[in-house]
Amino acid sequence: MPQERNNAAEPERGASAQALFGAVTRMREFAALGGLLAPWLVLALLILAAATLPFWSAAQYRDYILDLAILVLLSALGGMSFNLLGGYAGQISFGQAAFFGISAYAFALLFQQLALNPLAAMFLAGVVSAVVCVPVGLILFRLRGAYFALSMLAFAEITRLVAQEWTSLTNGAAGLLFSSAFSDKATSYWVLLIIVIGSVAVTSLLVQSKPGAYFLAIREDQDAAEALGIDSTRYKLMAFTVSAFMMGLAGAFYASYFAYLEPNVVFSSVNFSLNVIIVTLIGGMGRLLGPVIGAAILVLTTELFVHAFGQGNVLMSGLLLILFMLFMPEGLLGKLQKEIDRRRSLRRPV
Amino acid sequence: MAQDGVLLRITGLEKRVGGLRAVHNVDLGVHRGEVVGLIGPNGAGKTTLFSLISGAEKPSAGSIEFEGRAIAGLRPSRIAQLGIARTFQVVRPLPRLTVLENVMIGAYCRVARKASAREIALSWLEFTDLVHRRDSLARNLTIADRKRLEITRALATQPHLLLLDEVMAGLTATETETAVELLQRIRARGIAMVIIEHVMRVIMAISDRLIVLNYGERIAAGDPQTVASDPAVIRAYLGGNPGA
Repeated sequence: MPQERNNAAEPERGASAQALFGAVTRMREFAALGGLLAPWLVLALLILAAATLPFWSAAQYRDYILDLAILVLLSALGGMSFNLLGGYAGQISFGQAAFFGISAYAFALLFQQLALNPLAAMFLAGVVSAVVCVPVGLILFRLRGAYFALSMLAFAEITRLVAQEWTSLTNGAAGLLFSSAFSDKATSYWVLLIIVIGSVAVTSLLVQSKPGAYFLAIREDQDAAEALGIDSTRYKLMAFTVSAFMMGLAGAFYASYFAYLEPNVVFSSVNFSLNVIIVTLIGGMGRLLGPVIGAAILVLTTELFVHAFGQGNVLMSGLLLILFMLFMPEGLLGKLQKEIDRRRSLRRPV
Repeated sequence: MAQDGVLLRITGLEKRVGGLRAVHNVDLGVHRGEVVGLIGPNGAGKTTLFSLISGAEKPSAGSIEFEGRAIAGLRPSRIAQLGIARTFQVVRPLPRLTVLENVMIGAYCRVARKASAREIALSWLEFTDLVHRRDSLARNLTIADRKRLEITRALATQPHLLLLDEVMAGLTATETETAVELLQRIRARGIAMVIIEHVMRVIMAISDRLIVLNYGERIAAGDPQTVASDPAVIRAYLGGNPGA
């Protein structure tokens, strides 16, 4: 550290050193301010870049790029839903697809049958999932760990079967076809981008406040948390409701975008329940932006593998995931944090 | 018994586990600011009694009143909110959170704002001399510090009654000395305590009153000197002819 050396030399050099010392201090203050502002600046630039994507992407690839970007954002949103419940509150769910599917159908009905404004329909469809999750949580939160995770898998399967058999409402396995909600891709993209940014903001506020601390306490040790005055059922339910709402928004957006629903697709455990776990694991469980980073990595590498290896892409994606789990079990952001902590502790004088 | 001044009143408490009576017909009263030592051989039902008071387990019969309110069967979080905090015999820090975060979670029991929780947590960490470790992960603490963290976290919930389950076990002689000194300071704050402890020197020094459990039953109660010389207590610990 050159600054450190200047500092040490200061007593011997008298007045000029004094001036130098002052300058260094000012530089340090400036750097500290920069360090404080830098994350916000980066974030603002990223948001700006993302928001203007439809304008600066090359015209002939524009639709392709927007399609990919929408996939990234959709995975990120699902991942954030999983992350709040599993990464923060420690309630791993294998059945997030249930809320994706429920809200997808809810959107279709609200938008098509009741001819609601698409944005209002999307919001209400999210609310439907948030409401459905309450009785589910009250029953299933009696189970812990793997038992909760598996019972959620069963719940998702039940919702899929209900959607398939309730033909008067969902048109069953034949599927439901309707007109897409937004006139062009760019509008869809912007709607989704706003939903994702809003979800990041809400998650960020939530996890930095009392509920967030309580989520972590429950994740770490539910009995110890109870002994500290934490009503674990209530706070798990809180995480679950927000999580189901986010997953519901993802499902509703999916419906608005693809305008075709089939129970085996929107309730698919592999497509949604598993996918949201993978993107979260890659990015980092219990990290605010983990699922966003993970989604970008997974979607973009998958796209790359499809072009490079054709049918072999699944194999390559699997291999990538294994490598991640072997070398970064705490995810990319977890690894990064660990590295930062390690360096900081090395630098600290003993 | 004077009605005022009684903080905790347990009458006829019963806990059956299968055919076994883990706690049988136990009566216990704790006054405000009082320190009660709870002793007895292994398996006597001491920890079970704590679990019943703190709501981790539900009693089969009997009543528990805290500040005049029936609390038997309430969920643990509710009992903690009412003002009874406990530590666990096998310490349960929130391992991947820092010491400060652990204590803040206790402090959130009374406040909603992060800044207030932080302030309360720091002042209790100061009180228990753990403030220098505030940024360490709980899982990286020594056993003595973990026990201290457990007490600090419990104190941060601002209890009127603190249940301490073997907070001295596994500590060195010096660590025990510091821990006793900490308990004295907690007592000075007017917080009532029930202490389960095997180190007799400690329990004799700090308790106003002793309760002895054996096979789930209360076999003696009173001031420490009398109880320690009670033949029934000596028999329970050392064995011997029940008729003698």
